[in-house]
Amino acid sequence: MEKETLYPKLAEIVNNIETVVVGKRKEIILSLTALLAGGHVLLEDVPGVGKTMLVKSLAKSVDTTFKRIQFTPDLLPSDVLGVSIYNPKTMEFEFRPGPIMGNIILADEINRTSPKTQSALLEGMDEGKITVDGITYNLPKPFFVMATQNPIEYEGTYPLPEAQLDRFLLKMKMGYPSHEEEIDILTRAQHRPPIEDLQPVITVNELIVLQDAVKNVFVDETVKSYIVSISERTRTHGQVYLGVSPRGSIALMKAAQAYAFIHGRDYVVPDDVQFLAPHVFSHRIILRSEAKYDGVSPQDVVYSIMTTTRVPIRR
Amino acid sequence: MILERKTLEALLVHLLVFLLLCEWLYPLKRLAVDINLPIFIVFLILCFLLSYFKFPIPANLLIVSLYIIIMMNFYHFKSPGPGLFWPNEIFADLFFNLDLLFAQEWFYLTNSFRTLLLFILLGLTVYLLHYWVMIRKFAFFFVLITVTYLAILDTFTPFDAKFAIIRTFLFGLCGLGIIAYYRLADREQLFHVRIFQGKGLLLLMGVVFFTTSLGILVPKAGPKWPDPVPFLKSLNTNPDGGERRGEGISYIGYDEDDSYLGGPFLPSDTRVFTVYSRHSQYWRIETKDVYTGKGWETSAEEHFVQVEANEERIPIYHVEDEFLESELYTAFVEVAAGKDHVIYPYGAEDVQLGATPVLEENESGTRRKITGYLGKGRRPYFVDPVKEKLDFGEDFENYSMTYRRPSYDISRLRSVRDASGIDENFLQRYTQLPEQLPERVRELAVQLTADSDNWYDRAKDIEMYLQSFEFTYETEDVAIPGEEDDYVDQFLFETKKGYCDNFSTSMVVLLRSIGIPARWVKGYTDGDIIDRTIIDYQLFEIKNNHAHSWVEVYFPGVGWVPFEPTKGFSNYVQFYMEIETDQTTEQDVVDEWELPEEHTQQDFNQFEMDEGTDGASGSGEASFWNRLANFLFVIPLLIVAVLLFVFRHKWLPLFYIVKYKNKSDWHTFQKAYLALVSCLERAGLQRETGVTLRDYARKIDDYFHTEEMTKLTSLYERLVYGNGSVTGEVDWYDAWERLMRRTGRE
Repeated sequence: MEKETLYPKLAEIVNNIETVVVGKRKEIILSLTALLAGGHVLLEDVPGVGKTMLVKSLAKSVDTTFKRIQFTPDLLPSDVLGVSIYNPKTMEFEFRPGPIMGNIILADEINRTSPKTQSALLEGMDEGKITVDGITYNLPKPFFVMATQNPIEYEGTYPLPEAQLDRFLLKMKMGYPSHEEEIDILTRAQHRPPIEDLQPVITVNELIVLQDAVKNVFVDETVKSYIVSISERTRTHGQVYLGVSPRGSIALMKAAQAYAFIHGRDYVVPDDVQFLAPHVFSHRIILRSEAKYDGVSPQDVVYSIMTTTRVPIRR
Repeated sequence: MILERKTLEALLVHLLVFLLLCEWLYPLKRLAVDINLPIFIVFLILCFLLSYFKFPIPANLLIVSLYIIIMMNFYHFKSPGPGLFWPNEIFADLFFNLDLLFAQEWFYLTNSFRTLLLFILLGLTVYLLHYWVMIRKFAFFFVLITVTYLAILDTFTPFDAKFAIIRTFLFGLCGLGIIAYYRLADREQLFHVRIFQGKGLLLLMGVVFFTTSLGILVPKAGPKWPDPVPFLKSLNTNPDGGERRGEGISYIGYDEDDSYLGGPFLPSDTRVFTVYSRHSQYWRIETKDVYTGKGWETSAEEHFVQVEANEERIPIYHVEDEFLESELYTAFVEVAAGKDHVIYPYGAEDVQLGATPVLEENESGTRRKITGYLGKGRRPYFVDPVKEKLDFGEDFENYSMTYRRPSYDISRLRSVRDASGIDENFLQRYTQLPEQLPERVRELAVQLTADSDNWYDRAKDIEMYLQSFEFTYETEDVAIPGEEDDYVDQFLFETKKGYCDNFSTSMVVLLRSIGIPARWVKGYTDGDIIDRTIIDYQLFEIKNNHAHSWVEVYFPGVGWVPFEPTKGFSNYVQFYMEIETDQTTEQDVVDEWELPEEHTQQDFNQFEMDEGTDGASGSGEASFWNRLANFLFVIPLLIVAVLLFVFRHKWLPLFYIVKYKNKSDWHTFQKAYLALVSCLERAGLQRETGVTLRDYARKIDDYFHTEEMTKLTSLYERLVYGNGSVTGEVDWYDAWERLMRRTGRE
C-alpha cells in the first residue's frame, strides 16, 4: 500500500502534515480519507500522543478555520452551537455563533460532557446544519469533526451510545511512536513548535472539488458484493451481539472510494476495503459479553471475518 | 533441505534407494528371465547420478535416451556398420511392437521392446522415488513393497529371498532413519543440522545394527501354515497319486535314499517310463528291510550278482509256483532319458534287454497290434538279492519282461497263523524294529488285530485301519519327524496325515510289531493309459507322480503277498477263494479294480475344497486372466494419465505459455492472469481465501524476488475492479511468461 503513489495534491497535504506529526502516515491518510468522504473521525487514545497536533496541522494545511472545543461535564449546548444575545443598540437578539461554526473541529474528550451537549454536536455532524432559537444555520463546508476520547478514564464520563457512534465514519487510534520516532519528536520539541510555520497547501474550494471527485470513484459490483458480504457476516458472527447496519456498509464504500482516490485510482480494489473495514466497522459492532470477557476486540472480529471471506478475483 | 541439495547425505540416501531398487532386479535373473542384469544396474546408477546432480530434465532425458539406444543397439541389434546412433532397426522394431500393443498381442512382443519397456519403467521409478524420498521424505511404502515383493517371490518361485530380505531390511532401515531425521529437522525448521554431526548417525547405526542382528539371531517359529504353493497347486491340479522321497519340499520321483522320510513334496509330471502291458499292475524296483525310526535302510550293502541268460526265472521275488498263473505275458518297457533303474512286474520270469515291440496297423488304421518284437537276444543281467533290485550293467532304453501273474488263494493265506516253518534268520530280518519304537505302536497293532486269528486277516485289519477315515491322504502339510519322534508313531498318533510312505511304513511296522514278517517295497503304480488302440495291450505312461511305496507280507508256503495300505490306491493283486457254502460274503475273485481316485476316499472337507477350487481353476480362471490381460492395455494409459495429473504443475505452464503466445489484448490477459494464479497455486503457493490479489502478488514477488507479479496484478486490478474502460493493447506477455516458467520449475 505504501508504495502506491498518492494523488499529487493530497500527497502534498500528507507531506506537509508529516513535517509536524512524526511517523503517523497511516493515521494522516485515514484522516484525509474521512475528510474527503465527508465523514468524521473518532480518535480514541491516551492523552499526549499527538491527536491535537494531527488535527491542527490538517486544518492548517487545508487553509480552513480550525475550532477546538474542550468538552467538560458542565459544557452546555449553547457553548457549542452559539447563543443569541440581546443587542441593546439594535434592540434585537443577535446570534453569536459557537465554536461549531468552523471547517475543522477538534472535539476533545467528547465523552466527558453530558449527552445533551454531545447530541448538539452530533446533530450538526449528521445534518450539516444547526437550529438555534428556531433559526436554522447551515454549517460551513467542508465540515469535518475529529472527536477524541480517552479509553482509560471512565469515571465521570458519558460513553457515546451506539446510535451516535454511527455518525463517525471511522474510528482510529494514534498509538505510541517508535523509539526512533520519539527521539525525533524530542529533537523537534527543542525548537520552536513547527506547527507555527505550517503553510496551507490547498484551499477550501479545491478541497470541495476533490470531495466531489471522490463520489465518482468507481465501485465494481464484485467489490460492493464483497463489502456487503463482510457486513452480513458481522451480523451472523457468533461473538457479535449487534452487527453492522447498511449505513455501515455505505460508510465503508464511501471511505473506500476516498481511500482509492487518495491513492490515485478511480476504482476501488478489495485491498481498500480490507484496509478500512476494521476502522469503519469496529465502532459499529457490539460484542457479546462473553466475547468481551475473553478479551476479543471488535477489530479481531472484523479481521477474522475478512480472512475467511472470499475476495473476488474475477468479474 | 539437506537432502534436496548435493550433500553427502543425499548421496547416501540415493545409494540406499539404488540398492533397494536393485533388489527388485536381482530376482529377475534367478527367475530364468533372459536378462542382462549389468546393463540395467548401470542404467539405474546413471539415473540416480543424474537425479543426484539435478541435471535439467531435457539433459536428463537426452542422456538416458542415449544410453538406452546404445545398449539396445549393442544387445538387440548387433548389426555392425552405420547407424550406431540412429539405428533404423530400433524404430522399425518400435513400430512393430506398438502395433502389437494396440492389437493386444502381448506374447509376440519382441525381447528388445520388452527391454525398452523395462528401461522406461526403471527410469520412471527412479524419478518417482526421487520425488517421494528426497522431496516428500517418505520412503516407508517403498521399503514395505520391496519386502512384500521379495516375500511373494520367495513363496511362489524358486527364488530364495533369505539374504535379499536381510539386505532390504538393512538398507531400508538406514534410509528410513536418515529420511526421518531430516523430516523432523524440516518440521522444526532446523535447516542446517546434519546427521553426521552429533549423535544422530551413531544412534541410527545402533538401532539398525541391534534390530538386524536381533532379527537374524533370535529363534524363529516354524511356519504356522503349510507352504502355500503346493497347497494352491493342489487346488489347481488333480493330485495324481504320486509320492516323494527326501527332505524338505522336494519334487516327487524315485529316489534311492529313504533314510529320512517325511515332509511335503511337489508333484512332477515328468515321464519316466512308457510301458506296453496287458494289465494294470504295480512295478517294483526294490525293497528295504531295516526300519530305523526315521526311514528305511537295507541290512546289507548293495551287491549285484550276475545272472546268466539261461537262468529260468529271475531270482528276486519269491512266490510259490502254484500261486502264479500259467499264462506267460510280455510287457515292453521304454525308459525316459536319464533313468537308470529297472522296473519289473510281479511274477517276472525273464528280462530281455533292448527289446522293442513291433506294431502293425490293421486295414482301417484304427487299431494296432503287437506282432512281435525286435531284440538283442537274452543277455546276462545283474540282481541284488537283498534289495531285490535288477540292473543291466549298462545303459538301456528298452527292455521287455515276461511275467506270470500271481493269484493268491485266500483260504491258503488264512491258514497261516504263526511263524512256524520260517527260517529264524529270515524271520528276524523281516520283523526287525528299532528299540526305541514307542510301545503304543505295538499296543495299537494288538488292539487292531484282536479279532483275527490268522496273518492274512490281521494284515487286512491293519490295511483297512490305515485306509479308514482316521487318516488323510496329504502331500503338502506333512510333518518331518523331529529328533525325538518316530516316523510311524508320529503319523499314527499325531498327524494322521501323509502319503504312501507314511501308510506303507506304518503297516510294515505294525505287522512286524505283532511278529508278522513284512517288508517295504518301492516302485511305481500302473501309470496313466495313454493309448487304448493296441489290441490286447495298453500303453501306459508312468510319470514321477506315480512313484509309490507299499507293503509285502511273507506267508510261509505261499511267499510274498503285496498289500496296499495307502488311502485311495489299489494294487491290482488277485486273490481268490474256493467257494464254500457258508462263506457267501467272499467273492470268487477279489479283484480290486478300482482306479486310484483319492477324492472318493479322502476326508470330506478336503473333497469339498478340491471341488470348489477345481471349478475356479478351470475355464473360469482362464477367462478371468484373459479379461485381465485386456485391461493391461489400459494400465499404462491410466498410469500416464495419473502422472500427467499429478505433475500437471510441471507441464501446464508450458502449455499456457504456448497457448497465449503473442497475445496482448486485455481479454486474453484476464485468462492468462487467472491461469498464472492457478499454476502458482498448484506449484504450492496457495492464496488463502481472505487474501487479496495485491497481497498475494507481494507474496509471490517475495518468493521469486521479482516485482513482476505486482505489476501484472495492478494491471489485472484495473481490468477487474475498474469501470471497464480498458482498451487497446497492453504489454503483459513477457513478465507473465517469466513468471509462468518459474512456476513450472517449482
